[in-house]
Amino acid sequence: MSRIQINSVTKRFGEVTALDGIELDIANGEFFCVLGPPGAGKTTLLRTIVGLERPEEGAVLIGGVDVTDLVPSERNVSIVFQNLALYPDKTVYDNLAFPLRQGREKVSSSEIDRRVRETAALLQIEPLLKRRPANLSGGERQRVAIGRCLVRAPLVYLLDEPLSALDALLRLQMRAELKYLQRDLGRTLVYVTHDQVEAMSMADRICVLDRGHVQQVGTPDDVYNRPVNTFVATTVGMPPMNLVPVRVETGNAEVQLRAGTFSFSSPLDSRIEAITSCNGQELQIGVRPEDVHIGADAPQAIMRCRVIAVEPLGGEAIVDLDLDGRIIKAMTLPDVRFEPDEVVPVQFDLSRIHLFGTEGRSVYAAGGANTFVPAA
Amino acid sequence: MAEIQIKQVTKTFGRFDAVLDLDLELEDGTFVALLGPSGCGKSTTMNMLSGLLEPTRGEILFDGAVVNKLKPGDRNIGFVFQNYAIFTHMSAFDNIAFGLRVRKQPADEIREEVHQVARLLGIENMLDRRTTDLSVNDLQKVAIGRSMITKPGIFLLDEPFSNLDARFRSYMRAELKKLQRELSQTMIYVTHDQVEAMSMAEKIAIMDRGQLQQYGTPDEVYNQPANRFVAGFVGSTMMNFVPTTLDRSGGDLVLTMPLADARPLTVHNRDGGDDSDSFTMGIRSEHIELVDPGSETASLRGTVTLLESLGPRNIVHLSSDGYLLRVTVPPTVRPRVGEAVGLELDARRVHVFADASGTALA
Repeated sequence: MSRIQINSVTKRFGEVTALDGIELDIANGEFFCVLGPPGAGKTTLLRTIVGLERPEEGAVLIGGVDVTDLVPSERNVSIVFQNLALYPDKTVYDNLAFPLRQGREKVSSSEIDRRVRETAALLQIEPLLKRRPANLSGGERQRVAIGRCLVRAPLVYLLDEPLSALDALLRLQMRAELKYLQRDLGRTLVYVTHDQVEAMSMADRICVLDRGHVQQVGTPDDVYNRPVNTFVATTVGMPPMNLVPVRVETGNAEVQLRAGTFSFSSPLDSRIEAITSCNGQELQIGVRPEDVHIGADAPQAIMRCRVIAVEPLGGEAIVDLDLDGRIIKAMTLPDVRFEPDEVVPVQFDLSRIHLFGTEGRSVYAAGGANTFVPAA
Repeated sequence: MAEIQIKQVTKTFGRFDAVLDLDLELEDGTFVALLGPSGCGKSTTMNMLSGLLEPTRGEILFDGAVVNKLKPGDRNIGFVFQNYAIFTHMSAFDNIAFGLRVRKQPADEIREEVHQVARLLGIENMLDRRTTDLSVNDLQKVAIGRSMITKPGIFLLDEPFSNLDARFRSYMRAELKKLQRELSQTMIYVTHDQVEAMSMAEKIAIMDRGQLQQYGTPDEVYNQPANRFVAGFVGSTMMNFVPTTLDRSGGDLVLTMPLADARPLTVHNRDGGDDSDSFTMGIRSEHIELVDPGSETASLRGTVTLLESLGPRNIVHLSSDGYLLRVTVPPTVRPRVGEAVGLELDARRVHVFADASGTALA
C-alpha cells in the first residue's frame, strides 16, 4: 500500500514560504504529476515526501503511516533527480546494485544479481551492464538512473524532471516508456515537471502548483477543459489559452459580453448565473488556440483580424492575430496558408469558451454547450 | 545585411570531422535555422561563421568576400548566446548602449536608439533598472537588444531560449520572428529543438554527424524529407517507420509490409532506390486514421498500448506485430488499452526510404 497523504504541509526557508498549507491525497498505484513554473515549490514538495526537508507544519503519510519524523532511508521511497547522479567509476551493473548493497536490509549477492538483471531487462539496458557511464548516451544514462530507482522495489517512486536533460526526440520516447513501466510495476509514482506536455501525456492526475499553493488537482481532461483559474488555463496547453478582456452587461432577459469590436450575448439561464453577479465588471474570455477559427473555417465571423505572423509546425500551424491591439493565437491545419498583414475573419467556438473573473477565478465554462451567440 | 556562402567547408579536430564538406548559401535578409542533435556540427558551423574557429578546408564568404581569416570583431556580426552575456553592474540602458558608446556615438543619438530597440523588445520601462533586478526572461531581451543595436549585418543566435520557461519561449519565438522581419537582417539560429526551427525560420539546414542532411523551407523538410534522418528528427510526434518490400511491376508502386494482417498498399511510383535491396515505409501520425479492424481500407492492424491526451489532440500508441506505431486522433477519440484497431494509411502521404543510404524515393 503506497497511498501518499500530504496534510496541511507548510515549509519555510527563512522568510520564503515554499509550501503553504498543501493538501494532497495520492492514491495507491497512481501516476501523479506535479506541474508548475520554476519556483512553484515542486522540488520542495518532492524533497518533503522523500524526507530531505522537514515541514514546519503538517504531516506526510505514506501507506497510512506518519513518516514526517522519519529519515529518508526509513521511508521506503526511491528518487531520481534532475541531474543524474551516477557513479562514473562504477559499471552500469554496480551502479544498479549499489542501492541494494547499501540498503538497511542485507540482500544476498545472488538476490542482488537477480534484481539487477530483472531491472536491466525491464529498461532494455542488459547489453550495457559492463559499461561505465562515460561510454553511454544521454538516454542510456537516464535509463540507468531510473533503473537505480526501480531496483529496490520501494513503495513510492519520486522523479524530479528526469527527462529535462535529454534531447527532444529521446524525451518523446522516454515519456511512453515511463508510462508503460509504471503501469507494469503498479506502484505509486510522483513526477515533478515544468513541461505541461509531459504532465498531460503521462499523468493519471495532475497537481498544478504556483508559489507554494495548489491551484488545481485533476485528470488531464479536468485541468485542460475545466481550469479553475487563469493560471491553470495558461499553464496547461501550448500555446497557452488566449485571454481577452470583456465587459459584462446584464439586462432583463440577456447577458452581454462586450469587447472592443465585438460582443456576445446569451439568454439568462441557470448556467450563466455566476456571471450575472459580475454586471459592470471586466472579465476575461478564455479561448484555446484550437477553438479560434479563421478564414474559411469562420463562416459566422463577427471579428476581422490582421495576421501578424504564422508559425508552421508541420502537423499544424499557429497564426498570431491582432485583435484590438492584442495578440491572440489560432491553431489551424497546415494546408491552408495565411500571409502576414492579410486580414482574415475570426470566430471563437462559443461552445468551448471560459470566463474568468476577479483574481482570475473561473466563473463560467461553456463545456461543449452553446450558450452565447455573436451579438449584432 | 549580408549574403553568406559556405563552400565545401570542413572543420577537423584531430582525426574527427566535426563538419564535413558543408555547402550552404544564405540569401541576404533570411532567417535560417541550423538544426540537429548534439554533436551534429551546428555549433562548430556557427563558430566558423563568427570567426571563433577557422575552417580546415573550404571558404566562407560574406557578400562575396572570403572571411576565413577575419577576426570576430571585423565581421560585422551580432551574437546572442544561451547564457546571456551582460554586465551585471550596469543598468539595462547601459548594457544596451554599450556597443554604441564603444563606437563613440553622440549621447542623444544613443539615447534615441536605445529607446527604439527597447520599445521593439517591450522593455522600455525597465531601462533604468539594474540587471540584478530583472527576471531571466527580461535579461535575455536585454542581451538581444545589446546585440541588435549595433545593426550587425549578420545576427547569430545560439539556443538563446533554452533557459527560458515554456510559456515565455513560445512568446519570444513570435517576438523574434517579428523583430527579424522588421530589421530584415540575416539571422542564423542554432537549435536542437525542431519546434523552434519550424516555427521561426524561413529555411532550415538540418545537420547530422557533421554533414548537411537537407536545406529547405519548414514545409519541405516536414512534408518532403530528403532522408530517414530528417523524417525522424522533424515533427513533434516521431514519424512511424515499418519495413516494406516494393513492387513496381504494375506501373504504380505497391508496398507490402511483412507484418501479420498487413494488406498491400498502392502509392504513386517513385524513382530511386536501385542501390538498396531493403526499404522502410514512413508515415506521420496525423496521416493515419483509425478504422474498424475488419475494414477493407486498413493496411495495418494493431492493438492499443497507450493513450496520451495532449489537449487539442490525443496520441494513440499501438503495437502491430511487435512494431510500435503512433496515431494522432481528435480529443474525443479515446480507444481503450488492449482494443484492436485498423490503420488506414493516407497513400499520398506515405514516404519510402532506401535502407542502404536512408535516402527518400522521390
